[in-house]
Amino acid sequence: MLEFIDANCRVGRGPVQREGALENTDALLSLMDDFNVKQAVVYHAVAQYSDPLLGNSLLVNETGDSPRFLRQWAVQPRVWELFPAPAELLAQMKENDVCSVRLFPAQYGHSLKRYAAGELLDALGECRVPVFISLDQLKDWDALYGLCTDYPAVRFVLCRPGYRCLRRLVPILDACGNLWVETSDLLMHDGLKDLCRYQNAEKFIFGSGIPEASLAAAASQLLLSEISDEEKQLIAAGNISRLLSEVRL
Amino acid sequence: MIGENVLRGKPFDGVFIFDIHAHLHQTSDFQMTHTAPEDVAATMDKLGISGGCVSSILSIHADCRLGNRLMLDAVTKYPGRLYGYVTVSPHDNGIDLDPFFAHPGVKGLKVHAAFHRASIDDARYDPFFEYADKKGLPVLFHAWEIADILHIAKLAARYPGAKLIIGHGAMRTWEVKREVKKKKKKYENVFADTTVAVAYDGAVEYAAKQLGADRLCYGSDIPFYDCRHVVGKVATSRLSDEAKEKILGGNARRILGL
Repeated sequence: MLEFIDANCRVGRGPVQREGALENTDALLSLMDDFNVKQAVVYHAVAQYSDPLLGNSLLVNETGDSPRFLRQWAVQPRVWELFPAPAELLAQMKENDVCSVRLFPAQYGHSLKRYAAGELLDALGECRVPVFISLDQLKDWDALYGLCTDYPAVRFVLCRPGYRCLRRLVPILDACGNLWVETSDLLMHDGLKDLCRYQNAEKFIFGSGIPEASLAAAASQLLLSEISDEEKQLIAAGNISRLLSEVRL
Repeated sequence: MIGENVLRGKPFDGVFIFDIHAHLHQTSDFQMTHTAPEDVAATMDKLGISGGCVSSILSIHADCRLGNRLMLDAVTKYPGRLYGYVTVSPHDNGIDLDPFFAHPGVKGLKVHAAFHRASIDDARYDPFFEYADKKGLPVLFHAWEIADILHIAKLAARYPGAKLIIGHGAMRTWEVKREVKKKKKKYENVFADTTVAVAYDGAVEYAAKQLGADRLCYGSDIPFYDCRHVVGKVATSRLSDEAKEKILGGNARRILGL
């Protein structure tokens, strides 16, 4: 059976509590077991919506020493001493086994331009730390293009691009070799088959989009897609494993 | 156990699966893929899905009459696999529905008020609802907002002979499900489908618990979306096989009279 790594998963209580939804990490682990998800890259709701430093700290505490969770920190450009400078941030990441980061420029209200975020993103690029960002955190696709071209050394993972994205996604994948795409929202009819055929299976990374979206739906989509077993393995776990294995902290 | 094949990446086998909310053709809003009747039928075949009830996206966008003609062509070409909804428009409410329903593959009406720039409670729809009421037909609504659900509730009381299906209603948000639950107490002719089942894990189980498995139907919205994530999510849910069989196809068989 196909082994998965879920590269897009949020833990902690968010602003919306959906009835019948997963209530805690034990429930998440049980669901992961159902679909043979060996590990999940997780960030914390408090980091997204309230306080990045507190959320990052909670993430470390709540994931404990479980090998099933791959910690992802929320990061922002440094402001005075209110957020660590890149060197200190990277040291803290190494100390806490944090292997990827996530940007929330819309939520946090900061620029991604070089004058503001250059110091941070250059440092992350140098260490090959994958930088995740959801499309809803960007003004538009042109902003994503700007991000990828302004920071060619950074490995960006775009999350939740939406099922209506083909006219935007195809040219940006062709133009930007440093962009990978998470699959939970790639729901075009026969979409994964087409993307593997016309783009490259190595550019797509399995994610569930929990809690807004569903691991069961995302896993079913990949499991039932008409692509080769090799392509399924790359998307399910191989591509994210490779990216994370190349991090140098 | 239903769902095991999904985990092994294999097509369904031995269970009747019917997509109660499917489409054909495309919109210019975004790049759709594999939208022709043969594409939709082929995907169903590959996955072990017995069939689906379709409306043309053309009929909810550019040209209602042309879309309905193309729907009829597809239903004729794929008997017993593709069934059809006649899309009704408030801007064209003088059309004669009888010729459509003379075809054994045409099973109900489709209402997409949002794309027709109207509200579900627009009085220009009344002749269509009266027709469905009289004939005992299903009416599939695009129901994205809670206001849509409330309108459907009123229609259910006015037209008790019609079978009203809340498209997207079962999965959209927990607020919608709460409204659906309220309606259940009053209206036995209201159903919901599972389109947009990318909604959170637990949503299928929750919807089935609130609505009852007898009133929830598998629908995918194909080819707006793929159908794999939805059918897989229902099949791999933590519901009983008996409940899954109802949701995946048993209820559609009853509601559409297949």
